[in-house]
Amino acid sequence: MSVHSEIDDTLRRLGSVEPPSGLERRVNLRLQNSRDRFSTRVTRTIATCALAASVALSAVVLNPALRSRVFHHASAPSMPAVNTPRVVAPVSGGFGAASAVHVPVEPVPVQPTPVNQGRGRSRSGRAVLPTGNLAPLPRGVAAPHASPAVSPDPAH
Amino acid sequence: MAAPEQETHARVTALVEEYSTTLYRVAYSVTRNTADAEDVVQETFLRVLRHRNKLAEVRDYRVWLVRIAWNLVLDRKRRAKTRPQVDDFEDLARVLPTGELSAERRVITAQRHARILALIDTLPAREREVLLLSAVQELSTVEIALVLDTTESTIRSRLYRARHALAALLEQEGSLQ
Repeated sequence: MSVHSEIDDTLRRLGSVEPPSGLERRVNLRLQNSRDRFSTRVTRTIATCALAASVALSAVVLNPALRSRVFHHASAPSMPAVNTPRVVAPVSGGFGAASAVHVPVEPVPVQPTPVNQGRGRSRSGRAVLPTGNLAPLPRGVAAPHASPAVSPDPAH
Repeated sequence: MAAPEQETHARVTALVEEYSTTLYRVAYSVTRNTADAEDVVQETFLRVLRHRNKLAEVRDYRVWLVRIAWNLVLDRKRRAKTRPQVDDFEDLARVLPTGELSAERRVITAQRHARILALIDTLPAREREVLLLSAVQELSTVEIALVLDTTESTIRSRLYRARHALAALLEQEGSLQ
């Protein structure tokens, strides 16, 4: 037998090896086991997660301190408290114009409700047809012709 | 179980029925150990099951499966550094089909096969791999090229070199004896 035919014979035999009987059955069995294990693992993981979530939720709902911490954590100060100066409203007057309290000494007379005094408008605010002088008003700021000098309210 | 999942399992089962023997031969060509070869086949289909969402994209199942098995068997060999059981002539004589030979003749033939296989293991990796895959009857040169991710002409030249190197080694051994 020549060398090349020996090589061919060896390779042919090597490549036509018969697998042990029942190989397919064993492979399928192992695949089945793997599937079962996988599905069991998934089910167990889901059950564990659900149990943990329900326990955590129950703890939050039943424990008032925990509940207030969980549900009101957003309104709680995130920064530690620092020594900031407290602002106390003074008894009279104030620090500035915005916080000052001005109490008039005498009662202030109630002004009549200001209504639109423009042309073409009634006191109720509804539009009315002009009946008087229809001449257009001059442009610019009109000064009253004769108005008595009114002293300003001492309260204001 | 959902219908698509059942369909996938049916497809994997069909692949097991169709390609187990081929994969076993591919694995055995490297491991030369029945248990290891069977482990590789099982591991191959476990990988298939793990990547079952890719099944629809596969064009050639044979090439795809052989590639998985081939990578697994090479990994296993690299990791374990186990020597093939070529010294166990009785086992080799039992596994390799020798036809209607007498017991004595069968052992001598097995010894000769074991010697040739040992010499194949001394070849450079690329040539050895092509030679071993070419031994698997179900695989064509084109398929071997696809498995090894190279061209058909490269496979042919490697095969030629491997056979000549092996023949030279055998002739050298024969002249020494």
